[in-house]
Amino acid sequence: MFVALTTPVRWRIVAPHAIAWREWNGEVVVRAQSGSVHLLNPFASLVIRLLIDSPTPLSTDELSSALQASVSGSHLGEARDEVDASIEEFERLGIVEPGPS
Amino acid sequence: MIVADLPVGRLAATLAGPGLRLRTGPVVTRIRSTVPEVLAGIALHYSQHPIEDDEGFADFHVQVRPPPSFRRWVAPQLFFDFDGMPPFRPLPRAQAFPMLEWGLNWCVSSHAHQYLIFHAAVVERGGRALILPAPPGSGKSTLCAGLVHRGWRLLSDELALLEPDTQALVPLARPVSLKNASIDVIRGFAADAGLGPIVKDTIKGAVAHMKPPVDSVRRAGEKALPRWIVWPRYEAGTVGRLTAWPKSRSFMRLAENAFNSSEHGRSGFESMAKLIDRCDCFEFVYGDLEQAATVFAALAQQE
Amino acid sequence: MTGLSEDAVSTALRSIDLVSHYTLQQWEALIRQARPANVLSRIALSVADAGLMDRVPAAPRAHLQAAITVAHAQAEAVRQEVAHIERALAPLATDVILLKGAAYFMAELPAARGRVFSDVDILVPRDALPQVEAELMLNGWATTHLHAYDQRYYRRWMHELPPMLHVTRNTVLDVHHAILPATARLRPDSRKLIAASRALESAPGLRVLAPVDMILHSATHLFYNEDLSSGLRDIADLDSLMRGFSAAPEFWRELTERAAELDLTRPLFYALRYSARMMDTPVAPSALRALASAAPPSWVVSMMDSIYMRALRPHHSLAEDALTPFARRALYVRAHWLRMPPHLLALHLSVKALRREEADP
Repeated sequence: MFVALTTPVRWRIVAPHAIAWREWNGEVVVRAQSGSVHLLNPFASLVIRLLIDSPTPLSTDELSSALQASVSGSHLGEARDEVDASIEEFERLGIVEPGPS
Repeated sequence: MIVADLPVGRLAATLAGPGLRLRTGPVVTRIRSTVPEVLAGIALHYSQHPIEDDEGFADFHVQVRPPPSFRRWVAPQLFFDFDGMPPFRPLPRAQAFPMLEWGLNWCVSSHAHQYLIFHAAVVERGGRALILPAPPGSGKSTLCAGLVHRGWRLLSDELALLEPDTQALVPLARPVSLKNASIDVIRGFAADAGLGPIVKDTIKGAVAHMKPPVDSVRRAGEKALPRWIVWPRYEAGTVGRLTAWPKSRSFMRLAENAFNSSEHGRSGFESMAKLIDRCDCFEFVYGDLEQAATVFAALAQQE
Repeated sequence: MTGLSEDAVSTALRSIDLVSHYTLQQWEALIRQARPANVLSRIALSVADAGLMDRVPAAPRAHLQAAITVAHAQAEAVRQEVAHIERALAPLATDVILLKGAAYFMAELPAARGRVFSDVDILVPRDALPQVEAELMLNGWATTHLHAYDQRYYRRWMHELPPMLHVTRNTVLDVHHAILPATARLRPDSRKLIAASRALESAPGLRVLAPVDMILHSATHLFYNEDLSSGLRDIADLDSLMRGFSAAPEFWRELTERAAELDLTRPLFYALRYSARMMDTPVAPSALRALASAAPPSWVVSMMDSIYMRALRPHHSLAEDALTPFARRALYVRAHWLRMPPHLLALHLSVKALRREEADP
């Protein structure tokens, strides 16, 4: 019986009071703490909405399942790729950080 | 009292001495200069603008003056001083009036952080304002100059001043700057356009200023609520057409044209978002100014 | 002082209540001078804090509101920059001490209120300098002043690395290892400053100077510097720091004793003198007595008075008289003289003059 040796990273929005965002026509515009503003593609928009709306941090697995459920016709692999790309970008921009598991 | 009420001799003496306290919307600038081109430019373009007295409050104190060195006479240059200090390099004397105008823009865009400031023209009709943001060379100023001669009031051709709390746009009603081919277009478009002399070889090419319509100047105390944001682009031969633009992308484009978003931080983001919420956003490609004016007239008719 | 009227800016800083009766002309004069003195935001926030904003007429009020908007943005920017610095230097486990404005801000001192920041200054132990520079460069800071002469000036003669510019954020970080250059006549011991420093609650990886050291550093920086464009702001800082810290019982004694220990009694003497004059700082008579022996001959003091009381005013025509340019020039030479030995000074000034001519179009 193999048990996961590491707990998965869970992600959350950095300083939610400091981030500003708005959604129009399915696309989210977000302002990072540094002041830079970014237009997110529909997938990244869904990912950030999931993180914003969730009271607890979410793992990439949880995000991928939720994303796949929201986008008809997509499968988990694609959703996974989108989530990974989004999280990587959000972390680079200082919008998300690993939260307590 | 307006500038035209002063005989030219008095105007010259005021500019040369204590300075002319000129009102442009909410901004009062005390201007000092002995340069004849500045005198002529003010007498022409600002003839209908109010003059404030010395007991009042001037927001900015500027001077257009020659350097103390030999460059006063040899290949003569001029400096624009902001309260005794020149913020930019000197320019050839022939560019005196454009330099004053650029300097007045700089005063506002660098200091008036009580507003959110965008690089855009703003015109108004029927109580609703049209914002025309655009990078240089997009034909924004030509369109702006044309519209104010076809039923629209001028608030500004360069600086959209947005009050964050009220979301109202504040007028300056200053001369419209035109470049190169636009000068002839406007000359043909409006016979009484009040165009000043053409100044060649500036960093933007040939430049001339168009006097703001009297009505716009008289109503420079009247703010306007924004209704439309339109990104213009001139393309010869095209029939003017408005294409709706998604708000998410409009927000990003507008952010590119913001002068002082970093000063406004997070609340600036919220104010801009509210502006996008309330405005219909379009792209507008056009090839003919008259036809463009009819498109906008139709837009103004809509509810 | 003949020829100079009451300085409008220090008057407002000292007694903000006076502004509730100001005419438009007085507002105009105040704002015009406060701007180049870098204290417009500070005055604006004082007005707001005193509940007087409604008494300000609309036209000048717009300038105050604009200044407050800028101050808030600046504060947020400094907060973030300090966080970046803390993160970057954390692996080194060396003492990193914030200086001046950034320190006042992170320590939540009143002197930070309405501050306009240009760079962040830090003090690190001299031996840690190479690793600090390396770590910063790994994190996106690049050295500036690449002219070989300037590099030498900063590294060998001054007390800091050439200013470091962050390549993406465009912020400037000044890294010091002492508060005066190695070539200066005075040699305050940085190790003592570092030993007395305190960790910041809000940023445990960073430290600030002990209160008396903050004051001594500010005084030294002011009275050994040729650029007094922020002189009035620095005096206001000194006044604010002293008022704040003097609540502690043994403060004045500690201040003068520490000044003696670090060999900084002369700058403290001037700091107390001009702060009291311009800002009415309630300096304890015991402190003045303790410093009396550190004072230069009275003819020097008179001369310094006429120089500094001009040079510390806002750099604006309304604040000046005919003697002001001479006062400033005198200070330029004096500041360099204090920092560099005469033979190096002459060389430095002539090289600086040459470079300015090169730069002209």
